[in-house]
Amino acid sequence: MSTLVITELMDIEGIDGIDTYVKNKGYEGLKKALKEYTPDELIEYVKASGLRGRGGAGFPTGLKWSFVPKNPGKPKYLCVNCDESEPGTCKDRDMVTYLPHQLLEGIAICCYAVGINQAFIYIRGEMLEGYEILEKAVEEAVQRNFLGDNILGTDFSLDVVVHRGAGAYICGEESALLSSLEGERGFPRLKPPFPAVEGLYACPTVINNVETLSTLPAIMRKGAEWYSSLGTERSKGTRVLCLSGHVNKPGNYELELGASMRHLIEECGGGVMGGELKAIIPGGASAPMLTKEHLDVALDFEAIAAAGSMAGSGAVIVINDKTCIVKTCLNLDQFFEEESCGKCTPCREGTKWLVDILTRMVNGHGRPEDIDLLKSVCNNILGNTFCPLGDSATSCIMSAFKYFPEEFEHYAHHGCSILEGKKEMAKS
Amino acid sequence: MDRVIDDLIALGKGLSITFKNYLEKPVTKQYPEEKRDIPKRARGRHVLHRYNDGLERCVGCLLCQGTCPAGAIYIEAEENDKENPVSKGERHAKVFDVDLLRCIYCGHCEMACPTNAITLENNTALAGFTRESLLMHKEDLLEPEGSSTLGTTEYWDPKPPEDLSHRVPAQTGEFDGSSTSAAAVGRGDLDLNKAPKKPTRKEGDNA
Amino acid sequence: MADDLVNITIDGHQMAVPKGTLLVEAARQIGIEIPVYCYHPKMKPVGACRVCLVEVENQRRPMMPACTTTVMPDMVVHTRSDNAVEARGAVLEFLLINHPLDCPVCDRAGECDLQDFTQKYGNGNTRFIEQKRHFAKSKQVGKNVVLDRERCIMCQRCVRFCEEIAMEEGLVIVDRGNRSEIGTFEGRSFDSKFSGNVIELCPVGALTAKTYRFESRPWEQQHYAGICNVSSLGVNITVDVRYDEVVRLRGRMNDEIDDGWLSDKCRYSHLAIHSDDRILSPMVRNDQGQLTKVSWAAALERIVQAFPENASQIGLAVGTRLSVEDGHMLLRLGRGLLKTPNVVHEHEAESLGTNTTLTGRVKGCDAADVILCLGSDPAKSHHDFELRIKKGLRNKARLICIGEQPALVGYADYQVIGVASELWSKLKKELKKETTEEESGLRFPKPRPWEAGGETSQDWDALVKEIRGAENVLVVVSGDIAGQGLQDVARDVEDLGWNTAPHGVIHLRSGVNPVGHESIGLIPEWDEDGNQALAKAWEGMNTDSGLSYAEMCRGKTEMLLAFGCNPLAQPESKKPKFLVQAATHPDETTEKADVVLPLSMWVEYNGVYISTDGTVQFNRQAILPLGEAQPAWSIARELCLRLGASDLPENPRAVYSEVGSLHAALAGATYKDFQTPGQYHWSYPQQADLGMPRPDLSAIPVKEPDMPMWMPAPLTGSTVEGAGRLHRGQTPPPVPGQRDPREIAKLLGLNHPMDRTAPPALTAGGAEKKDGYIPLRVVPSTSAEPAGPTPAGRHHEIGVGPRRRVAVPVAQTALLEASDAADNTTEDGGEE
Repeated sequence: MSTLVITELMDIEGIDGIDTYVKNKGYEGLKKALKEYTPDELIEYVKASGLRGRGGAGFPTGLKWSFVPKNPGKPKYLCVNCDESEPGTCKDRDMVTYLPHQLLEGIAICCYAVGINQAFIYIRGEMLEGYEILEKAVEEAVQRNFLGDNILGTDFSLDVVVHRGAGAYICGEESALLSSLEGERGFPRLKPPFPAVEGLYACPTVINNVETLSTLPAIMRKGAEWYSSLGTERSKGTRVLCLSGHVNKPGNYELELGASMRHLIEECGGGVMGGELKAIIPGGASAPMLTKEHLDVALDFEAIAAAGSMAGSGAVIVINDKTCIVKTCLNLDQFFEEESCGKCTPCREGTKWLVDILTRMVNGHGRPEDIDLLKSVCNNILGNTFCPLGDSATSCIMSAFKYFPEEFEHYAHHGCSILEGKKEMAKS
Repeated sequence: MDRVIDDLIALGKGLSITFKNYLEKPVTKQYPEEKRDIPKRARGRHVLHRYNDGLERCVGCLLCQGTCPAGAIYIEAEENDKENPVSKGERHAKVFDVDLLRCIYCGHCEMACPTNAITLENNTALAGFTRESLLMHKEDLLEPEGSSTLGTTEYWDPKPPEDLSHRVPAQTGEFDGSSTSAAAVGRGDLDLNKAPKKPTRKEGDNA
Repeated sequence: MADDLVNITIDGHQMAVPKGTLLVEAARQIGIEIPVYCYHPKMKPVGACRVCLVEVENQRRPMMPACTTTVMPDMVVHTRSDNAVEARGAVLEFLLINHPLDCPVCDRAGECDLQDFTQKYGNGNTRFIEQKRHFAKSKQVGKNVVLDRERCIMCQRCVRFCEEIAMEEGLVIVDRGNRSEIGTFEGRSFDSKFSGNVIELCPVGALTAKTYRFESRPWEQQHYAGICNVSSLGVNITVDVRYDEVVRLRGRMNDEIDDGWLSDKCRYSHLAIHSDDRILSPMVRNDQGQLTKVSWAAALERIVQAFPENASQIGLAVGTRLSVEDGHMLLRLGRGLLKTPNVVHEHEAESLGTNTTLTGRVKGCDAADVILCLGSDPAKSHHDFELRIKKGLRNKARLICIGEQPALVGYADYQVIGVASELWSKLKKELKKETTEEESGLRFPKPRPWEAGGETSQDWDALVKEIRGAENVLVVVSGDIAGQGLQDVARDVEDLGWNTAPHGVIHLRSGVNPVGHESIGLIPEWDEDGNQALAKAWEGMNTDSGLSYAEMCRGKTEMLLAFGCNPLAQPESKKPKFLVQAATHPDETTEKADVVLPLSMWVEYNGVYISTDGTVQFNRQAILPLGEAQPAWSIARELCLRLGASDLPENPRAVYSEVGSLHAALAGATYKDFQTPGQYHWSYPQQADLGMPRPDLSAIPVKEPDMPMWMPAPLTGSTVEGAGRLHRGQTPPPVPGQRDPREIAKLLGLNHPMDRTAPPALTAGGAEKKDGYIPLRVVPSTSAEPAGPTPAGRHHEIGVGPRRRVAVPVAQTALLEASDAADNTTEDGGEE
């Protein structure tokens, strides 16, 4: 059992209430930060802890904060990305529902470090429960002066606004999130200017994931050194992994970075359900698939990247050998087609085309040339889109072609899945 | 001596052609009582074609007018009345005039036509007493109501290849009611085993 | 090398461009075309369409959109590498898979960017066998705009125009992803004053004009550079003509005036040209009080006979829609020959006199710190000016409205409602007060009124402070400023030290050409000293001060000749004893006029117009005069002839030269002033890319950049006033910065179609055509000879041609038949 950092307090009864949270050393981290550190020292402290953003890219958090101009002459903002919509990901929901105050404490620490007086929590529209809990938590925290004006007697003030999105996947992309928050269409924006310089309402903005911010209180309480002792050389600390798919015990598991996939699936998840392991998607729907050969790959940013996939949002999806990979690809791509924002051409038209081809193949009308067509369409999307959504839509197909080409071939030549055996070719 | 023999052979050859033709029927036709067969691809007067349902093929795109090297075609297009369409599509030719005195019968118009609406047919007997009689209006050029031909198009327009490796319903346009062919004709969401993934949009929802 | 220049390499060409230049602009400067759909130089880049992808070396993502990437030091860019070509082809393929095969019925075909780029850069085949996306066809989104959602490629240009340029709620994107479509807000119609611009902006045929739908094809049109004849701003337009019929007007970019945009008021003004109620023949009121058609000779004879003995009892009222040439010939007729002092234009009451200098220019909005609108609403009378004000607002200007200005109120930073003249004198007093207080100019931007959450302030002190802190102030007054009590505004502004061109006062005049008419003296007061040359040339001319227009309308003269104006629509108007009107369309005056003459509209003759801020511009004749209509200068000339004058100028060119030689205000002016080359519509030789090898651009010398070479349709046109005639058969003049298509053709060993010789001048009905104009020939109406100009053109009556142009007088048919043969030969030789 590895050390718990984020979910340590999760099992305590009533932890979503402020009294219980404070009893369990809640807001200690904030107090420490306000009393013992100047904002600059705090940023250095977080840098020293080696904390990296948990949103997907794994960018060092302290470094991100240090990019924000000190005195821009404009307000600065924090946006908490709680628009958790990557298929397979469910960690933010638990953190918001069970540990809302831990998130608020993290927000306060971050805002103090960067000098922000206004924070927004952009919560996914579907998470109504989480929204209500957060609203209540903010109210409680303001009453106890953990938020609001002159927090704990200092001259640091912070206002937190919880904003519900409308359930668009693209709004998890940071610049689209900002657009949506401003009341515009959820279209990603041009970078540069980066949000740290010109973000929300053209002001410097920090955008952090819920998990990143929820880690901060523990780091403050227990020390940066303690945190950096966890995990691997370059990926410090722990991470909440969302295990789903064909496993016996799906759920959120907090593991030290560096734990292997085998550990997660077999020890935590209780093994693969209903058959042998066929493929693993290690970082949410936008990550390329891996196979059972990669079971011993560690679940940290570098190791997964080295294996040809990405750690992404930490959603590990397990696929057993009774599953048709082509249908899986279709399912995933239907998601991306549905969620494409329509701004740029390759993603808007390409995802639709991929879905059309896969639908036709799955329905028995594949042609041999469809294999090359699929590859070509994926290649044409890849790298040509405005934001990474288009690339994500191709990753499952490209990795499936790498590891399971025969499944596509079978559909193309026999009009059915390889699992169904060879059928007579549908004639028309 | 050799030379005499060569001359005689040459003479014989020449005379043989003369006698051969002497014995054949004359090629002269007693026009106009007799009419000669015209090659299938000969280019005579223009004809505007119709679809089987009687709608005009011409959509008034003005490509023939644009390509005409002699400036013999004049067209005015108009929007189709949705209730009583003249052609398929959004527009049709309100005015379609061909000046046969200007036309040089090059056939560019039939090549340019995207709907195979205009062809040059085998009517080559074109004469008139006035200039006006040789200015053809749309009424003169159109096939009579009820007839629907492609004209000479079939003799020069190459057909699409038939040897496609795997003819899919999208190409044959067939829908046999199965979910597979439904997908191929663009209605993959009609799978009967599952509930529809999302409500299908109706055309003109926001119209 | 200056510090603000960056060295980059594009396709092997090294060049230095200013920092912050976009790649697409940099490439254009050396003549490399990068295709674009969403990019538009007048709007913020979005990077949506991805067709401009180019390969940039040493980047994290190798394919960079050229429209959003700014140049970086030592950047190495490839626009023709394998990756770039592949990416471009891929994007075009994606755009086409859901694009309907509508080209034969689509209005845009022939000038469609999707067609053009697909031919140049497309893959040439289709791999898409799935069902295309379908929407119901042609949905009318606004009064004048028809939308075909299937054809849309989601470049968002129209949406961005509404948001950024027009700054109002118009078109929006509805739904998302593949189901995205352009639409309007629920239950709203897209009825903007500027809605027509989105039609020009649309790179495909998704947005089309109701008036132009299925009317014409681009390849059969001739394009003429014209000037808008609706407002006094002098907005530049392109007049598109099909078979001698104006089918549409488009904007023509002139950064000084219109910035490439065109308001609907002007865009659809061509509908009047071919409207059914045009007056097309001279008419005289008979004994029964009915207007009856007569010959020109009879009508002119009637007028000449009606001239009263006392010359001062004759009045000449000139409409401001008429050109400078018209005004000059009418002045000659009135002051020179009839010797009446009463020759004025219809908006002379607004004149500030010739002694006032107004330094404000339309482009002054761009760099102004404060735009101060005084009195009546400029956006109401001058739609195109509203867009310019909005451009200023986006840059840095504060808008201050003093008076009543409802159209602009939503954008005003400060607004004070009241009597403009009182408020102005109060303001000017406060501004003149010395102040020791430190004034900072523009403060940190609060939300502006047009942004979410912004409000219009009515705080007088803040307003004064704002003006004090401003460096460049543009004061906008419009219409009859004396009536608003603001006649001294120019002097006040000079006192305040704001007269630094292009800032200062801009007076938006009513009508079209009042400034032009004033510069040649069509005002009641005659400036004797300033017009010595004129007095010398026109011996015995009347140099007294005459009646004002309002007095003339009240019937102060026995006889009134109204050219292109409507005096009886004025308040308290009274019909004089004898009323002659030259008009294009019937109005109140026509109902009572004794003689009605058909007047040509502005596209029917060459003319010079002077805009409200003093820009002298040339309007090119685009079509022949309809019916028997004649331009005002020609009618005046005929009347002059009948009064015994000789040696009269025979065409607008000669008239304008005379203007240049006689009037001090336009001294030395000739048509040669306007011979700056115009923008030719097509930028690249289309033939060169149809299966031919690509031209080696390195072999072509690079020219000075000036004009965007890939310029999409809305921005075609000249940036200089008076561009040349853009005729299909004519050789277009070279445009600076643009590769001559013929050069490229020559490199490929091709004959460029434009290299052919220009057609010989057409002759019609024996009358010689000079300067695009056929001199009026007056003959007795009883004669069998033709009574006026023959409509000459590409097609004659019996050949093919538009049937509606059959309005040929009976007397002409004989001639027409006779000229058949001649006509035929001319056409064959002339037109390809």
